[in-house]
Amino acid sequence: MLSSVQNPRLLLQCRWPHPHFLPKTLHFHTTKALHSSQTQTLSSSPSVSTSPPTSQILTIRKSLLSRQKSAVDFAEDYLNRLRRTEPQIKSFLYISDTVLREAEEIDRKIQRNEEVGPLAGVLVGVKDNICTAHMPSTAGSKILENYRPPFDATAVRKLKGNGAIIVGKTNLDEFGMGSTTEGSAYQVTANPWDLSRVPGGSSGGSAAAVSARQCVVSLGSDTGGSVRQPASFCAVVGLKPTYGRVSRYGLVAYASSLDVIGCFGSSVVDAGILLNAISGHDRLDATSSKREVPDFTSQFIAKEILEPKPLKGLRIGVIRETLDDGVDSEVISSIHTAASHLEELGCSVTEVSLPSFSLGLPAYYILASSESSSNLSRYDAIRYGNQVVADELNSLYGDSRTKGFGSEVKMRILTGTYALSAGYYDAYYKRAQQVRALVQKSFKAALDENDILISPAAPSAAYKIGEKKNDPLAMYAGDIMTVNVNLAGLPALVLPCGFVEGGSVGLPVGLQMIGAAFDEEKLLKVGHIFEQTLQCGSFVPPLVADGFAL
Amino acid sequence: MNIAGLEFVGFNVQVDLNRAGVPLLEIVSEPDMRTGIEAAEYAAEIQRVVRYLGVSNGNMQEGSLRCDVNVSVRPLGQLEFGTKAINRAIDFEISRQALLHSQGLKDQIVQETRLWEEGAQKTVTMRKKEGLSDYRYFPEPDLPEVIIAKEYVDNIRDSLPELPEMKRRRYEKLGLSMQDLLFLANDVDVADFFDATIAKGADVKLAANWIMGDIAAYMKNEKLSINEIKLTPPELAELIASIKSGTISGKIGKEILFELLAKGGTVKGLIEEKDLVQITDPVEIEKMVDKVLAENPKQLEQYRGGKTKLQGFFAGQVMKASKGKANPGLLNKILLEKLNRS
Repeated sequence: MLSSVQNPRLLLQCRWPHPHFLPKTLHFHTTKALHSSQTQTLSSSPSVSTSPPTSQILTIRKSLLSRQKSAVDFAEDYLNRLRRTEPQIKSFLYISDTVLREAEEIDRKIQRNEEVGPLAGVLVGVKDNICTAHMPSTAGSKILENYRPPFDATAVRKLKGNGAIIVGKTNLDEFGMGSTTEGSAYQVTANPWDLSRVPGGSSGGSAAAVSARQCVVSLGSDTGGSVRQPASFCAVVGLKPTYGRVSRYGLVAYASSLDVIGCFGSSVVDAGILLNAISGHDRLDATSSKREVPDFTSQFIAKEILEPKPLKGLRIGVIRETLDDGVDSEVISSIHTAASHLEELGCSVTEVSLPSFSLGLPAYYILASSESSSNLSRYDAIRYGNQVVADELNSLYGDSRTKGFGSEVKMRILTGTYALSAGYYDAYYKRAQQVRALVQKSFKAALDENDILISPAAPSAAYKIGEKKNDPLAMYAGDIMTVNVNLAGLPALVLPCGFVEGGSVGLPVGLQMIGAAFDEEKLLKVGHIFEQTLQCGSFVPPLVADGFAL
Repeated sequence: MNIAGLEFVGFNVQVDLNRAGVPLLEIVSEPDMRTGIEAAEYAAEIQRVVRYLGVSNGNMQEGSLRCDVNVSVRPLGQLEFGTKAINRAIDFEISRQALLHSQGLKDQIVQETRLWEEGAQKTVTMRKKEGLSDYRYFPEPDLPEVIIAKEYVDNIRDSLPELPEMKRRRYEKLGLSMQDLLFLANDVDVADFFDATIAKGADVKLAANWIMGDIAAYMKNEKLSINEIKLTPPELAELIASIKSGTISGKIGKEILFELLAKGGTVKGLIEEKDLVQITDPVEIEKMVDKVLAENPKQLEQYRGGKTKLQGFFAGQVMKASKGKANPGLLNKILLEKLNRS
């Protein structure tokens, strides 16, 4: 049914108004076999007319191990681009001054033929609500200005253990509360595709940084869509893992039952390699899962050896409620095109209905606000954060919080406090929990019938900076596509699938793929094949396309 | 739970984390207690139970066991207390609130946490209690639910030791008095000592008497616990048996007891070593009586002249000659026969 509305000629062409073709990018031709098998299967040759994204991580690894290019050379490339673009994009709140030194150390190790981790020499941006020792971690809030945690978040510790270089801390809406990154207490980040537009949020800095190739990959956090919506706005791959897959230890808590650390990359492979590095049980997070972590990278099949119908038998459900009124019509047709593309790849695509879908948004805002009102009570200006001078203790608490928190944060604390108050608890918090159970149930039923559910990642492409700043409800409504997935704790992958009118070259649209709990493997496999076969030109923003040669 | 205490020194805060990571159990009772002594006894029973179970030393002064008491004469108030102050603090608070009611000042009774001041023997406001709505309870999402299987609970129930109340009921059935069973069951170590003694066949009442009498007195004087004395339950049982069988006298028994308490060793060993076996042979005792009578002709004359009180003197002399080993009953019987034979 879905394909019948499409012009068959368009099946493998994604819709975008002003195609711009990248000057032919520089590709490596393998001169030397690599260690790991997956890198062999992935060493893709450049395509002729379009250029599906290649893994930056694997390219770096190949070059380092074959000694074609040093880690310092790579680091300098990224840092130069970062310096050039940062005044316009402003994705970083802090930039490390030890990047080159760390790259030199990796080069020395390679010189000495020592083992280097799978992320050796890979520059990673870390959202500023994820704790890093020796770097500030402000969560975008004045109350944590200059706060330097004495420890690394588990995810960061694992990245470092895998050889990654933390390039800096990326901008975000204060405590992750927002969908535009305008809610940062420090700066507004611009969308690399159109500097007058928002990059999405709350992980807008991490998404913009990967989009503008200021770093290779980045970590974000996703409480209601904060990885997936900015990935969609910036045309990068965003992966929200299953709740419990990645330790939250060291992630500044917003809504503990919904928060997850997620991954950004410029290709599905990069997002998968990043997830591989940070997953696993952690005794420091009681909600982290003890489930075995599969090798997510083993799923990736090189484009050349794909069968004609590589996804034959896979059942895809298009969530009907996500293509309804209120969703940009160009976004809807991008998703239809993506669905047709999946059909071309052999999937059977049907519509599926999640009747509780619209209830997710209000339930999410009640639950997230309630949990945040409790979590943010720790900012008493005594244990950490900025303290104002006051005559007595209660004023010290009150004045420090008044000064330290921004208006969106205060609004959510008030909302949550209200929802949890005696007399209102049953009407708000309890009912929201009941909705959550309904949402989980309806996802379960839909995922029993389908391998993967698809929807847009956001109802529109990136909008203008300031457009929804004074209209919180409009901004909240933009989270409709993503919040249900957090309520259900499911994994979801967002990847660019097309363009709509806007900006100078069009604005990217993201496709959301939702999988069963702990089945990131399937999402990555399908996402990779989708990405590699999509005839769509390049998802590198024009701002950096000329200079980006990896 | 409160894992750390905060101390405010001006605007500096000191954090005492000495309780961090220590498992904690909170028991909330029903409002079943009517007087201070009932509450204090409830707390004491909880203390016994945790000690019986070996889960805590239950020492209140170390904070291993803490108590918050809610006192309510209609509206709510609250106070905190220490060990023996429980009783006085509660009774004080009851009278304080009752007085305010009778003076028509019930407005002054507010929901608050009060502190017992031992020096002044009164309660004072510590902090005003927040209203219910201010707690804003909700399930803590960082703590996943723990599902406890019935089998797990049953295993624990089956592995429970005898608890204080069960022990007291059992002692009652053994025929012990209320005073005895309260004393013995109060301390699990004392109860274990008693149980081990009677398990060796010792007479129940005699074992209780020895433990509550001379042994308890010795422990108190020497400031020792029952696990620190040298006497073992089998030897106490042996001692009781030796007296009952007449092998040694009660008096000798006491002497041996103090040896055993301080130095240890066995009853049999001590009896042999000190040659303390009771003399029960009438012929031998008669010989000793004859000897004493012969050596004290003057006193014998006085006795026979009517000064019969002197019987005690003769008995003492014979006992002395036997080095305390003569069976007192036999001794007196033979002595009287000889004295009255004119």
